[in-house]
Amino acid sequence: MSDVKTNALKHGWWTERDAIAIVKRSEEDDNTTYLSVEEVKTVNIHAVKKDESFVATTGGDGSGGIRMDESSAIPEEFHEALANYAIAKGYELKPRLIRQASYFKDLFNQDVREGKRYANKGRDGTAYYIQGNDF
Amino acid sequence: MTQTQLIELVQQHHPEMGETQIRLYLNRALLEFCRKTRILNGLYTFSTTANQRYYNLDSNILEITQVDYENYPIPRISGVVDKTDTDN
Repeated sequence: MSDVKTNALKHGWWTERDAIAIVKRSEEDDNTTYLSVEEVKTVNIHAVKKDESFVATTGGDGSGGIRMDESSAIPEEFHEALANYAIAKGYELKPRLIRQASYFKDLFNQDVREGKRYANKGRDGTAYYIQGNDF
Repeated sequence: MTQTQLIELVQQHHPEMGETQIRLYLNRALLEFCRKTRILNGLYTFSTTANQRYYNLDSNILEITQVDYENYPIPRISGVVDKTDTDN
C-alpha cells in the first residue's frame, strides 16, 4: 500500500453543527484519539445536493440562483412536476376545487417515484447496489 | 422548461396568482423533489488547514455519501466523542 493511501486511511470524518470534522485517528494502547489534521491536503466530499433556488432576476452570469430564463438542473422530463406542485397548492386555496389539488399532487408524487427510479439507476442502465459494511 | 415557462404553466390554472407566490411554491417543490429522489449529486473540494477540525459545509448539500482524503475514501466515525470541541 502506498504511503499516501496508508496516511489517508488513518483519517476519518463526521458531521456536527452543519460542518464536517476531518480528524486523524491515533491508536495507542487501547485508546483511540482523534486529532485535528496538521497538514494541508485535499478533501473531496461526494454528496446528494439540492438545486439552487428560483430567483426573480433575468440575465447575468448564471450564479446566485435559477433566473427567469434558466432551467433547473433536474432532468427535463421532471420539470413539469414542479409546476404540478404549484398548481396543486393553488387549488388548495379554492375549497370548491379541492379535488383538483389532490389530482395535481398525485401527478407530482408520480414524478417523485419516477425520479427515485431514475436516480437509482446508473447511466449504463444497471441498478446501484448497497454494499454492506462491518463497523 | 425555463422558470418563465413554469410560471406561465401555473398561471394557466391560476391566473390570479402572482409570480412571487408561484416562485415560492416552485422552490418548495424543487427542494422536496431533490430531497425525496436524491437525483442531484455533486463533488465539493477544499483543502485542510493545519490544526482546524471543522469545515463549513456548502448549504446545498443534503447528504454526504463519501469523503476522500487525498483521493482515498475515508471512514465516517460514528458514536459519541469524549469531549466536544467548540473551538474550530
